Amino acid sequence: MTEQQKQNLNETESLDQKTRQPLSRRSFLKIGAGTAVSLTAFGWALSPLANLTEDISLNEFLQQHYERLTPEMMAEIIARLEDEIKHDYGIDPSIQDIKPLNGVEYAYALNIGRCIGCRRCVYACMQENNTSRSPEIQYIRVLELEKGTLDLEKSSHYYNHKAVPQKDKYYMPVQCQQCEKAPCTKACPVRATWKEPDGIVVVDYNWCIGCRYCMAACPYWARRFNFTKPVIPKEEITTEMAYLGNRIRPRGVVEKCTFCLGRTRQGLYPACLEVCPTGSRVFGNVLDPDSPINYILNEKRVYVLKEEAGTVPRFYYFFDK
Amino acid sequence: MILRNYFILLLYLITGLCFFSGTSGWTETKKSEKEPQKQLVLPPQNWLDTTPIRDTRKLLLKRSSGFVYRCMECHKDFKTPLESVNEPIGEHQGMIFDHGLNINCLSCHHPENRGVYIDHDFREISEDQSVYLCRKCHGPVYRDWEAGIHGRMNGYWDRSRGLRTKLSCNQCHDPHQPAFKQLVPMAPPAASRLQRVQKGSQHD
Repeated sequence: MTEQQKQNLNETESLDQKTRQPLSRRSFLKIGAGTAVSLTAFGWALSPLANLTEDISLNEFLQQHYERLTPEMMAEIIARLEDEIKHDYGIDPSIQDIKPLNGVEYAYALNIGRCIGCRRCVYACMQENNTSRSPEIQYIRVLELEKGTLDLEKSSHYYNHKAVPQKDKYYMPVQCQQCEKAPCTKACPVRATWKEPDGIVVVDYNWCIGCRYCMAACPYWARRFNFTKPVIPKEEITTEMAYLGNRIRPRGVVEKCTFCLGRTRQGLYPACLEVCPTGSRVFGNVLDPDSPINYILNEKRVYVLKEEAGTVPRFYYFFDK
Repeated sequence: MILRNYFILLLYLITGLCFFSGTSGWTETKKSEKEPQKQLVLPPQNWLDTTPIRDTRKLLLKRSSGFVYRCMECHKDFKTPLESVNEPIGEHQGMIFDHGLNINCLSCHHPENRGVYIDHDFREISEDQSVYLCRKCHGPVYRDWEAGIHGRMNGYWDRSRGLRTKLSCNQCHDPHQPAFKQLVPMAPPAASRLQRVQKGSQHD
C-alpha cells in the first residue's frame, strides 16, 4: 500500500466518523426549515401547471413548433382542437393541415379604378375566416380617398354613406400584402410567424406568445390581436377550417389575412374575390405565364403600397377602367 | 291656482307637439319630393353570396310567369325608327337610355330579327352571346375580359382542379344605361379607440 492510498483511507475513515456523529438540534432545525422553504417555493412555482385545464391543456402547453410536428403529432393536435371548438362553440368542425402547392406562388392585384367601396369583401372575409364579431376583427380596411391624391393620411375607413361610390372619391381596400421581405416575421421573437414557400405569411396560433411585436412592425396595419376569446354566432361559423388559416383562434394571439389559404391551396379563389361585385380583384399563380395576374403585371401599370418601406409586397394596385 | 298652472303647462305641451309634428312632416314630404327615386342594390343577407349584380332572368326575355317574349310578333307590324327614341312606347315604356353616343336601337338590335343582336356585317349574334356584341365597340375591355381581369371570376383559379366561371357583360352592366350602379355599402367597422382618435384629428 502506497502512502497516498494510506492517506486516502485515513480520509475516508475520518469522513465516516464525521457522518456518524449524532445530528445536533440546531443543524436539524436548520436543514428542516431550509427543505420546507425550498419545497414550498418549488411547489408555488409549479402551481400554474395545476390550473392549466382552465385555459390551456397540458398537451397544448407542451406542443411543438409547427415545423417540428410529425404527421402523427399533427393528427393528435387537430383532434384536440376539433374537440375544443366543438365544446366551446357547439359545432362540428373539420380542421385540415393543407400544405402549399408545388410550383405555385400567389399574387393579388386590385383595380382601384373600379373598386366602389361597398365593403362586401370585408364581410365575406369575416365569414370565411371565422374572425371575432365582438369585438369586431376585420382583415380588410377599405380606405376612401379624395380623387387626385394618394395621401393616406387624409383617407377614412369609417365612411358611412347611403350609397357608394361617392362623387370625387375613390376607394382602396388594404389587407395583408404578403410581403416578400415581411418585417413582421423578422420582429417575431419566437418564430411563430413565417413565410411559406407559396408566398403566404402565416401564424402558428399555438406558438404565438401574443407580444404583438409583429403588429408594430407591419407598415400596413394588417395584423389583428385577439384581446378576448372570439365571439362568433354558431350559425355563422365556417366549419371547413385550415390549421394555419381560418380555424377559430384562441385568446391572446395575433391573426391576419392568409389569402384564404384553406381555399386557395385547394385551387379556389379567396372569399374577398368571390363576392366582389365589380370584379376589381384578381388573384392567381404568378409562376403560371398564362394566369390573369401575369397579364396584369405585364400589361398594366401596377404599384405597391408604401414601396419605400422595402417590404416587396405581393399585392399590387392598378388604375384601369 | 295649482290646477291653473297645470292647465297652462298642458296647453304649452299640446301646441309644442303640434308644431313639431307639423314641421317634421313638412320637411319629410319636401325631402322625398326633392330626391329622385334611385334604385339601389341592397347588401346581401348571406355574406358569401356570389350572385351577380343584375337580375339575369329578364335577360332571356322571360318573366317569372313563364311567358316568353317573341319580339317579331309585334315588330313585324311596328317598325323601329332609325333615329334615336325619346319616348319609348308599349312594352318598352319606362326604359331609360344612357349609353353615351350609342343612341339608336338598331345599332345593337337586329332590324329583321329583333330577338338577336347585329354584328358589323349584319350577321346575327345570338342573345346568349351578347359579349360579341359589346366587343364591337369596347375592344380593349373585351381583351381584358378575355384575359380574365375585367369582371369577376368565380370558382377555381387553378383550372386543372375545376371550372372558372366568368360573368357576361350584361350581368353587371345594363346595356341601356351601362354605367355601374351605386350600391348600399356594408356597415363601417365597429367603433374603436382609433375611430375616436381619427374623429378628433378631423376636428382640428
